[in-house]
Amino acid sequence: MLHGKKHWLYHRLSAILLLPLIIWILYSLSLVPEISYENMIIWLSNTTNFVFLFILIIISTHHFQLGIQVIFEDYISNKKSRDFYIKIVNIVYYFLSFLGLASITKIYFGVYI
Amino acid sequence: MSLNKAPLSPHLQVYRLPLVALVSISHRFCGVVNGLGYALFILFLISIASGHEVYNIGYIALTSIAGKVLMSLWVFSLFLHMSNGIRHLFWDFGYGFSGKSPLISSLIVLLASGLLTSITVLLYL
Repeated sequence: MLHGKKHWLYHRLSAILLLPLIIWILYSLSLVPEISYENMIIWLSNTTNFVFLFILIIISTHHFQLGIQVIFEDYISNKKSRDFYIKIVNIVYYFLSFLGLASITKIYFGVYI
Repeated sequence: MSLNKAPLSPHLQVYRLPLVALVSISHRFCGVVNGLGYALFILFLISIASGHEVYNIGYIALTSIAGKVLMSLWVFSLFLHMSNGIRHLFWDFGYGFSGKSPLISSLIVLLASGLLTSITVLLYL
């Protein structure tokens, strides 16, 4: 869990990095003619898309974890339960990001079970 | 008679929030919504990796009218959080606090997020 100066700075830095990434993904996906299974595989097999999406998942995970920490710190007064809920969200979102990263890596390298 | 000199905080249930406060709390609300949308997006990626049959379930949900409406709302939430986030960066450097600035920037945030959402929805039509 990050605190104070570092939390503030990482929250801002991740926000600035997310700006172009979010605009990129919305624009890039809008160019896919139809979100069929085949087209999504083609989109994710592109190296640029794979790398940018990989970075996007990592940064957005951290940005959300930092943001939810601020909300919990503001609204949960009991320190023990506050830290508990922050940890739960952190674990869930690390797990989600791992699943997302594993999924796109599997598709990019064409591993089909 | 003794008077309670402590200032009374606004009763949020009966107090109509000014626009600036409304946009401010929307920032947090949209941040949470974006986080939930993130979880759904991860599910979407998992469904692609899981093969054709699983992907089709997500595809039907996404291309339904309800799916499209929810996607548009999520995009609006993303852009509101993004526009207001840019405003927060200005605030971090000490700009935009005086006079009518917060009200004007609130309106700009709403206008920008509405416009960006419309453009995005048009791109996907």
